Amino acid sequence: MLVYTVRRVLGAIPVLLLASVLTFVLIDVSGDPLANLRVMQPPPDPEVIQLQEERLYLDRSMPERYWLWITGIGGNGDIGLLQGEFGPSTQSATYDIGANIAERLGVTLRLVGAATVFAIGLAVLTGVVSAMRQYSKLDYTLTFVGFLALAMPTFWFAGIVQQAGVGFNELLGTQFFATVGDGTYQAQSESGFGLVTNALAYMTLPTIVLMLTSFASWSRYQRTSMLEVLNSDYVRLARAKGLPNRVVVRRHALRTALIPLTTVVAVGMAAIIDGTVLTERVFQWRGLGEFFIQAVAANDSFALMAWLMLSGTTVILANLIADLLYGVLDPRIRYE
Amino acid sequence: MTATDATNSDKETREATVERDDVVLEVNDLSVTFQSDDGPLQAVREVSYVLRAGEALGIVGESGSGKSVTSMAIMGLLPRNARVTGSARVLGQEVVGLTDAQISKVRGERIAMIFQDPLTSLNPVYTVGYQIAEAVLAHRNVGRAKAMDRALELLELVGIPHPEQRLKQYPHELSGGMRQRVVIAIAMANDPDVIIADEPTTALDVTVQAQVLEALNAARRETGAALVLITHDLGVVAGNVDRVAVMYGGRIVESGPVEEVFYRPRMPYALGLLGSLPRLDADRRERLTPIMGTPPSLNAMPPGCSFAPRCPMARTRCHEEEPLLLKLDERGDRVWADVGDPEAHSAACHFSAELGESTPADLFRAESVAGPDTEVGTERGSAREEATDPPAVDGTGADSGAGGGEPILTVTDLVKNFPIRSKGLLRRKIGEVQAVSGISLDLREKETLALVGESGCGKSTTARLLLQLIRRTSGEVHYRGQPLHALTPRQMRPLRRDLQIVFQDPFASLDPRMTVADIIAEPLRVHREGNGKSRRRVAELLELVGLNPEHGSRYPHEFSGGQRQRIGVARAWRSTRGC
Repeated sequence: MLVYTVRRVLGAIPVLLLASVLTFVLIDVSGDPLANLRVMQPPPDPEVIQLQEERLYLDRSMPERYWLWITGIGGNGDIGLLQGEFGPSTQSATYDIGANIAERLGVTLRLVGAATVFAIGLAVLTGVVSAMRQYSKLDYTLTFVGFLALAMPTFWFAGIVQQAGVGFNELLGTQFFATVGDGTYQAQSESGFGLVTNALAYMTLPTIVLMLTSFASWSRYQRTSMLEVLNSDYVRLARAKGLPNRVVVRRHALRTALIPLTTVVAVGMAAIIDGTVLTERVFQWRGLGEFFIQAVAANDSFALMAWLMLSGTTVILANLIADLLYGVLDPRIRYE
Repeated sequence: MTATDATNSDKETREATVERDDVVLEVNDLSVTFQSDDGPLQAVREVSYVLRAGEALGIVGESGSGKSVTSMAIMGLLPRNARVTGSARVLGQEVVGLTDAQISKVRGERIAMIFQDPLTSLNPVYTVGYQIAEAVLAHRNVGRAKAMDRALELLELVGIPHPEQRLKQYPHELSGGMRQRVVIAIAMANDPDVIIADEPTTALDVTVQAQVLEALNAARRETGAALVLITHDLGVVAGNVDRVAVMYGGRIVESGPVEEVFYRPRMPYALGLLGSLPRLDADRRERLTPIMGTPPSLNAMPPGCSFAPRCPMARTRCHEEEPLLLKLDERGDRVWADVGDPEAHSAACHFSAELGESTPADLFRAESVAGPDTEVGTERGSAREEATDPPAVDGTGADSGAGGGEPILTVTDLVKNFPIRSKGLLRRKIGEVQAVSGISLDLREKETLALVGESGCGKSTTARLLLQLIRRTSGEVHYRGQPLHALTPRQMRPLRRDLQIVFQDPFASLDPRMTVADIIAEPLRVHREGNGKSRRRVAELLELVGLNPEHGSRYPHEFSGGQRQRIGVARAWRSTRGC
């Protein structure tokens, strides 16, 4: 298992390197970080532009800049992934990409974590119920809900949920759901039970939005996998042993039907990270999604690279965890 | 109408005479209907039998004859869309119509079941010991440790070596035969009164079959359970049961003591089944006598006897009136037999008295030449005669001029090793396992060579090596003087026309998204031999293997396993004749 893990981690390095080269080139050709400065009216002093170019290492060629971004050798000490520096930002000379990303990571992790947990829980529940009552009215209803959720664009659904929250608050006459902001600031003045209600108020609506798509697709997978297992010979043998139905379903069907879901969830992590960009925008959370949008708007190459490397690493990590979990869940898998 | 009246009154007298003292399972007029999009499908029709303590009953029939469905109905294991009518009593207790909670007290405790495929019968994520102990704990509140002790004892009883180690292993670490013995151990865990074994040895090698049957007999000795042995293999039935019931089209068409049914069958179908059985003591020249045609599909049951369309004896009455299951009395009249009478030999055939001492060859020989469909019978028959002179199945190849002449395929010292890799970071090769070690053989024209062996002994690997589907480690293969082992894949390609293979699994070896005609035409196209005539050639090939050429536009899933295998044979047929 340890050997396998080491081999997988080593295998992830070339994947990340290749991804970084591709994204670096793509970002580089997609726009000039100083475009705004150059077209400014009245035109700025050429010296200012030159200073900016030097600060952002735009005076060097693209391969040189990539090498610099990885190693930091020959830079001003503010760049070099291997030295723990993410590079200078276009947004301001004092903007520290690393510190910013770290601060926002906590906010986003809260949202991603909650959405993943709830999406898995609900997907398993509806998948199992749907499979056990195959072709019943309940199954058809859940199937309809599932496809509706899959078909709904996140930005649109987020807007609806937010408006519904506002309407609900007006109906109650109190601020039951917080529809704007991530609640980090408000939490500072709370303690104990207040922290919990604060978190609930801020997190409920965005979590619903973020988990919806993943829940829908995962519940379809879970239904299929559960149906396959329910029709398997070993479930039939378990019934033939005289085990009561609920034991058969829980111990023999659900336990094995969960195994394929680990892979599906790992792959789906990418979709959830995507989803944060829109969800955080609508609910005005200062998370990684917002960080990404700002970076794009400011043509901030190094900030974008940092975000992409982080999400890439997360996806690779999620897959590794899923593969390792597979080995724990399924005794047939041997890591060699 | 009169017929049904007679049935009802007769039935009452029948039931009255059944002795119930030692009856453990009594099935009465059990019918199963599946609701489907095509309307109701009757899979089992009025099946009745009685099983006494310690007795063994064999239920024989082709796939789709309803033998498994009957047992599943008794166990309450059928899907929701199945409707079960009639009655099945286990030790006097009615089990048809019980709720799931009620029937789970009967399952495993009084009546246990063994399924066909040992590779899928056990849950892959639990240890063998856990799964046996679970069966004990389902009915006995004895605690984990006691249940594990019992599991160990059961593994010993079914003859598994080193049971202490096996308890802690997962199913995938055991061979098929061992897994089936584990399933038998699960079945006997609570000393049931009836064990239903549904094709328990079908998926296993012959040598392993014997071990599993021995374990099954041990289970019977130990528990004193009565056995229902469901199989399509008459050889398995012969030595292991007292009575046998033959099923066809959802009904029991013949039942009686095993010797009676085997030596004096009273129904053409049973006779035909016996004729399809290869016998080692038979003359090699003697062909098998297959029953032509296919079993009736459930949504198009013939109105009369369901076997009539395939029966060489069928007359007008057979096509109109369904025969009842009756025995012959001393005067040769067909009369009701007592279901509980273990000696009664009944058959559902209007003309069972005429069957006398017929052999399968007498009855089915003419039929097998004429082909199943009388309309095209003669045409098709002649096409087959000219094209199929040495089909491999009849074993006459060696006699008809083969054996002499130069070998066309020569194999010398063929070896195939597979690497074993280290578990370290670099996965270095640390050893080799020899799958095929030094095989030499010669094959002459028109000769049939059989490679026999248990699974895992290298038969299939050898076959693939011969065709260069995998690369040899060492050794030589010559085909008509050409060294196949030295050819590049490109050089090999034109030769593939002459070297074909029919694979084991007809379900996995045909592309499900290609029509049958496309599958058969593909080799013709690949070798550019179609020349616009491929359509006719496909029709010829389909006829050659006994399929309707009009079915070429269908997809593989519309055919039965046997038919698919025939498609596989047609595909492998050398695309142009003459060498």
